[in-house]
Amino acid sequence: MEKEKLLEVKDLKTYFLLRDETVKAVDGVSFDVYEGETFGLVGESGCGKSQTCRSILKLLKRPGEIVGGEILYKGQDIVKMNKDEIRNIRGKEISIIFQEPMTSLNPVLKIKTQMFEAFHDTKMSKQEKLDKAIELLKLVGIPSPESRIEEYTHQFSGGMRQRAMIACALGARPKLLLADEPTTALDVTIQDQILKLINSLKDELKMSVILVTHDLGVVAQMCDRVAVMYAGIIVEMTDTVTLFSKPRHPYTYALMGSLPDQSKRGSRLEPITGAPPNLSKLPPGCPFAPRCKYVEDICRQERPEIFEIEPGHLTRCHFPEKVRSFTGIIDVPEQEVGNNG
Amino acid sequence: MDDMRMNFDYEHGEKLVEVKDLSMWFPMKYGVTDFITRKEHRFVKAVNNVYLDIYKGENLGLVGESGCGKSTLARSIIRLYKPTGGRIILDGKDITELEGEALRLERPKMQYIFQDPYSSLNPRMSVYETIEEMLLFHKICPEEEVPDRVKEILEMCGLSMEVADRFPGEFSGGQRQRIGIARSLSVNPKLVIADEPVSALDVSIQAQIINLLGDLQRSLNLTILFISHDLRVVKYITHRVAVMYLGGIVELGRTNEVFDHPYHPYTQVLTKAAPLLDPTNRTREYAIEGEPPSPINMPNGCRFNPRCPFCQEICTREVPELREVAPGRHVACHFPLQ
Amino acid sequence: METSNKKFRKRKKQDTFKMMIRNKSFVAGSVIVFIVLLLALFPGAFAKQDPIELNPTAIFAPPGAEHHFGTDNYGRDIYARVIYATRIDLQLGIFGVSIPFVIGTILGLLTGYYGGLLDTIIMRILDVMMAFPFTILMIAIMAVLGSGIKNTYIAIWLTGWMTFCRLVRSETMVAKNSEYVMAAKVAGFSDRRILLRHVLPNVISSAVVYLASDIVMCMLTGASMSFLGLGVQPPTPEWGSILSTGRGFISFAPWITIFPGLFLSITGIGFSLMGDGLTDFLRTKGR
Repeated sequence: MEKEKLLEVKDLKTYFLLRDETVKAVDGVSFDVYEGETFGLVGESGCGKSQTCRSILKLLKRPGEIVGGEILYKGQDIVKMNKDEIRNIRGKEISIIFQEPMTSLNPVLKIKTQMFEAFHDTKMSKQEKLDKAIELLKLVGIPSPESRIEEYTHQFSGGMRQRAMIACALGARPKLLLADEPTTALDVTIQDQILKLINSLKDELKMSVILVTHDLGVVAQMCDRVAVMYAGIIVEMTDTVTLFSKPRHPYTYALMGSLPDQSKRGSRLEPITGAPPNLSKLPPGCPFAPRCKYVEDICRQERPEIFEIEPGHLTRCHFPEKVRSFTGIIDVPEQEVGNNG
Repeated sequence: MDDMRMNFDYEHGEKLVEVKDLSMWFPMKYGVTDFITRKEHRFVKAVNNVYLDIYKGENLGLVGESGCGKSTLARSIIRLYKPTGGRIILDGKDITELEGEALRLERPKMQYIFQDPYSSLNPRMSVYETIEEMLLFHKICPEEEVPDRVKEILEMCGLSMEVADRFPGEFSGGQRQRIGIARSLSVNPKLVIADEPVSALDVSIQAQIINLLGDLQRSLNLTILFISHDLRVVKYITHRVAVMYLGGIVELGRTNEVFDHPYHPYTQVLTKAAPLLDPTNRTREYAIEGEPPSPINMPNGCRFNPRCPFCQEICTREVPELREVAPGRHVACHFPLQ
Repeated sequence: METSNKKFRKRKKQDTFKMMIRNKSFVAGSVIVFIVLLLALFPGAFAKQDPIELNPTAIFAPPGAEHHFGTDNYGRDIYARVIYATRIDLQLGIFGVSIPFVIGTILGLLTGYYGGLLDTIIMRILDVMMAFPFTILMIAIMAVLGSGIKNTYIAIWLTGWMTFCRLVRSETMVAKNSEYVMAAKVAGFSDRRILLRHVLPNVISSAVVYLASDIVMCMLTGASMSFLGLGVQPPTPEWGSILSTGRGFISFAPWITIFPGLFLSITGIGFSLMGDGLTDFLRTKGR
């Protein structure tokens, strides 16, 4: 890779220390995000993707705590930063947008007031701030921003709120945008608009994006590289095209198999049996073992290490020879995959 | 079995539900100040003049964005609301005006599966009690047969009798949805309305529930009205599909025909907007600009006209009727796409 | 097959019991309440002296071997008086609260579920009554009805239902729009069944929790009415009235006020702890 690493997450562990149990929400996650790329974190609810994302800005809800690992942003470790240092990062270098804009925007403040917060410690005059805010709203595609900036969040529709939140997040031109399920609460047509907005802003502001989602469709359309998470760990990580053409982990493979598709009409789907494990009582072996079709004795006893099955393609499975035969839901000739990665 | 979904016989099908010119308006709050200032009564026009037939044994999809009135339509059909206008005929009987005991007798015929498996079960009743109550209230079986019947229903829905004494809080989302389905099916309904039954669930669990619904439909010969905003699921599971926009049906027809060759611009937009599962095929243009207007201040003429890329002068004046443009294909558009 | 029908019901009760035992504040509260209950039921077993017998030879006797808590200005044994007063105070608390609880819950359910005219009327009455400070309202009612224990009850009943009604009403309004109530409507259940089987169990918990603390409130109200000379009339022993008598002698005979006050506080703490425990346990059970 010629591109530079913007963010390095190394063996991140985020636990929720409850009175009588420890929920290992993130249990040793490592990945890099390069400049200008969209990195996807995909998985089902409770797999730790959102907690990983929040850990990067230390925005964990109590009793969540980072108990180990490093998060290097431009070489500085965010985990070791104190409150003031982290404040200089939040919103300025790294911004975050959430799933439900209604709950993350303040209902009793005007959009204007909330946007001003983004540049509260710059020495701008009121008029300059206003101009800047209107410019940002224009950037995120809010029509007639001059009048809408005086409104409150409840006067905005769902899509407009998400746009306004993105505008707030982009106030200080961050280098990295964390998008935590940004379109899950939205309708498809609005989702389409927001995703494309994020894409064009990414190019325009030369940001990197970490996109957290449960929707493989969103991953396919948005991400350059993807990490698939299950029960607090990354089970597979590669570029998007490879993931969809040659998945190399039984979970990814099964996930794709369980997607309903017109081509499968009339036939039965192949769901993954059972439910995700309880994060406070993880089995000793591979966490996917109880639901895996290819499970053998060793899977239940020993947790597999993540390894490079092909250049740039990491997977975490005891049986590389088994997963090598998996075919994804798209067909891509061999050479093209290499070029894309 | 191969593809019974595709080959549903409509020409000879028997209608289970006929919805005629159904409207459902909710009055907005009318306060004392509104009364003094002689303000006009305002309504949320959730459903407007809908005609819809549901055939016995079919799975009819109802798609649209949030706020388009699909849940309201469904809830009016099973008479959770009293419609503002129009008629609903269930199994040859007009149920539009029924009240009290007469309506209660019709209830077992039409059941509803809710979207949110976390809030649709009474948290203080065990699975057994939940189903037992349905069986006894509607006198589905004599009291001594209840345990056997509960067991049968639970097993049909992929649950074992061992879970019967547990409370909803002890289950995962997928299992709760199974309980919800079991509760609906316990009274042997003819029509089941599934309102976004899988959208609150994870993908891997979704597939389990979709399979279950498919199996149950085949084995019990159920008629399902399947409401969803997820086109992938609708394409997979339904025979016919009705597309709703702002309180009205804009297109109706066989699922594969509608999605492969949409006649209404809105249907086209919907199919385009859903993210493709193919990273090598990324579209960069917007499927559509803008957002749906509120159902309080409806645009004149065709409701889709403010967002429609093919809007013409007549579209802003006249509401297009839902008309048959090909056998079994209905569309409400002045200029259907070809 | 009948047995299995019963089996499923049984487990629910066992679970409830287990969770109660595990809850520390509930257990502590119950122990206190249990002791208070024993005192109320069998005062004679704990206090040998007569609570209303005057003893001119032992006026203002300090606490000692003969009079554990001392005596008052008539030489009455404070220990006996305090013990015998438990019954009447507990009665005040429990009877005073149970009727408003039932009425308030029913009204709350009906107004919350149906809304409309009934709701408007009851809520306006409530607003008017709540506009007065509670004690002033009590005194006003007592002034109209006349003093005495019976009228204290009536005054407490007239004012007590309001909080229950408010609590239950607001919770009912939430439950009314929940999907499980919607599901019960789809099932065709009658309003009565929906209200009693589906709404009530889900809205009652906050009222039950309030019930425990309201018992304390009622006892205090009864005591304060006696203190003002409006409630229980002397010589009947009652914590409030003992406090009231002791007030004049607090500088040289503090025991007259200390001990009934202590009992009042401990009983209050007992019920509060029980209420606390109930909150925890009702909350976790709902999940």
